[in-house]
Amino acid sequence: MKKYDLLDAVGGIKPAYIESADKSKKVRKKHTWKALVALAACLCLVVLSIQLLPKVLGGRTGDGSNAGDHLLADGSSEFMSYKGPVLPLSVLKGEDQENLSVHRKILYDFYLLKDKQERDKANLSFVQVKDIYRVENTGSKRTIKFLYPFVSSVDELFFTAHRIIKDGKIIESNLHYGDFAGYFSAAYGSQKADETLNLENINNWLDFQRMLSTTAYLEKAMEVQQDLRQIPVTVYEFKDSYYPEDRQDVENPTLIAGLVFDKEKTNVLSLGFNGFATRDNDQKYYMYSIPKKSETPYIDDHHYLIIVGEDTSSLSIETQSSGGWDAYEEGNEAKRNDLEGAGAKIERLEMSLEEALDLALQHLYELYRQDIQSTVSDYRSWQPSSWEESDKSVISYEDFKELYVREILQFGVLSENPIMRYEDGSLESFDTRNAQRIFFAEFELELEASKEINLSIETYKKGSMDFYGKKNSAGVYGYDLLNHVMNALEINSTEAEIKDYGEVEIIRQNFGFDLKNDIRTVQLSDDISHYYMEVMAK
Amino acid sequence: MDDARIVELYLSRNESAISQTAEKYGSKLRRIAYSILNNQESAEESENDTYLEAWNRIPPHEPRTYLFAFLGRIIRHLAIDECRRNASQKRHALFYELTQEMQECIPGKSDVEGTFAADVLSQVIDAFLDTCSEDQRNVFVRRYWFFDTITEICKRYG
Repeated sequence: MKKYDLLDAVGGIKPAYIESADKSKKVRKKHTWKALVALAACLCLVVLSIQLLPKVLGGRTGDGSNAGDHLLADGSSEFMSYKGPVLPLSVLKGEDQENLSVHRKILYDFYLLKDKQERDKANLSFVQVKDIYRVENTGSKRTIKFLYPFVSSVDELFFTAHRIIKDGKIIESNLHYGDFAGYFSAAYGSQKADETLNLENINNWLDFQRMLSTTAYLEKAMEVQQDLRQIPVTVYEFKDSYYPEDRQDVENPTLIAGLVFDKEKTNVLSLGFNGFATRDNDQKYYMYSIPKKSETPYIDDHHYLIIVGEDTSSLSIETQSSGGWDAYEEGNEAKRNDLEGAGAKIERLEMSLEEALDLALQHLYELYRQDIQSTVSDYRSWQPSSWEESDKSVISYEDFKELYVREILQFGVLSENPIMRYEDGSLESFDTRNAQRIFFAEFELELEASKEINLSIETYKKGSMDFYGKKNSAGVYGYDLLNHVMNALEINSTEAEIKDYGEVEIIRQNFGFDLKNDIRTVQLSDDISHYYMEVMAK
Repeated sequence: MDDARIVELYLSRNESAISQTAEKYGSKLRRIAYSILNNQESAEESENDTYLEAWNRIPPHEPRTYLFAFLGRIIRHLAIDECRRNASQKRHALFYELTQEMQECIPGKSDVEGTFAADVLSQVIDAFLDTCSEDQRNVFVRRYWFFDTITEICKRYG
């Protein structure tokens, strides 16, 4: 009997036992009902399922032959998980493109299919992309600043970050970060159109093209960050949390901080708190679990309340033997504050918002770094060379902080129009790491007179896919590119090549590949803005 | 929406059955899969495979009063099967810990001769749970079916 067998067999126990355990007495952490709905709804899956499910299950659209597929006007699919197109090399506004002859070739290499022993449908979900430019300068010597845009999230940068190679040598680039490329929507089932609880990524190429049809998005990415050193804040730092050593019967010692403030004059950001409530005539409560000796404390048992604006008129501290807000319900007062001899070292500090965010974000940065190291390790079998050789697997702390600051000011409680999704003020709730955005790799090239250079921009890309439905059962992945965006480098000719190792079937495309007849390299037309292919394993 | 109504949607082949299921149970199902696979994308794939399985199994099944248990059984099995197929894949630390705990429950060699059918094993476990108090049973199920950590179990039951 293998070790998984018993755990698997547990799955088949009586449903009544499962339902009973599921409904058995819970200790609830308080969230607003809105936040609960947001947590319960899958970020893309539920909302997209409303749009796509009838079609996916053979419903009411399509021409019959494509029943179950949601097709855009150019014949490409709209995927539930859309990873964004390959975007063309661009130049900074005002750069001189005169006397340049440029030939482009895009190579899609399904390198994971090389080893037939290991191939399975998942290996089609990952491809190496080489975007190769042969640039001839027919004029005088000059230096040109380029931008290479690409779609990714911060968390995925460890494989999407591009290697830029000029004549065989890697050249350095600076990364600029675009804003979150999607939008916020209402919770599933809600009738309130102005709710902003769910994160929605872009799911088709037209929206990306629209975003890059002007320079506004790029200009925002290159904006200088607001100076937060001029904004004074009060910070309450909680650390060295404790509870009586002789109270080993207490399974979840909890500390609750209560603040009283005027919402019109004060906003609160927090780190290290995982329960939020408004009780007792608008008093705000923030809760965290006091770590036990056997536990590894979350972020080293550091917790911060960052008060922007007027300080609280009172800070109350209560400790209780269990988490949850039951004790704050009418009639349960006896359970409230029932853990004597517990607390934390609390210090009130005055500093700038910049310094306060430094205190908090360094902890989140360390968690991010550890997560990415672990993920890189998980993906090791897929990488042909070590990603760890590159410093690009994690962004710098300065960039990490800049992104968080931008999003706190744009979407958080400090914004003029705060998003409901972040209304608790918890820094951990921001989607800075996982939100899809456009990055811009900026680099400079010196072009000698009457000489040609070879520029290869290499990355890895995940395929766009559907979570379920006909395409899912077929293991279909989509890869696409845009030919035109604002300030794209003017190209004389474009070629595309696929390396499929005889293991790929293209079920939908407009590239013109014909694998059966060994046509794996094709010329692309400048008249077509969007090229796509949707592939599955043979 | 209550389970009976959701099951009715499946039986009448109404596509909103899946969106209703996802809305009601999606996050719980993903959590179960993540506890095994330690990978968000794999957990999401398992969740969606579960919806497909549910669509294909209802009818003839009609889990009007135990829909979550029905779905949970599917996703657990899919995720554990994924583990069986990809032996080199990194597991969630808790899942690894629980498999080791289970391993210690098997007497003698770790690979007993012959394979017990899963349903026979389930019946044996049921018989064991029948002998337990409700509290003991709930803790066992929370640990080995839901993959709760000890801290989570303690938070739940105070």
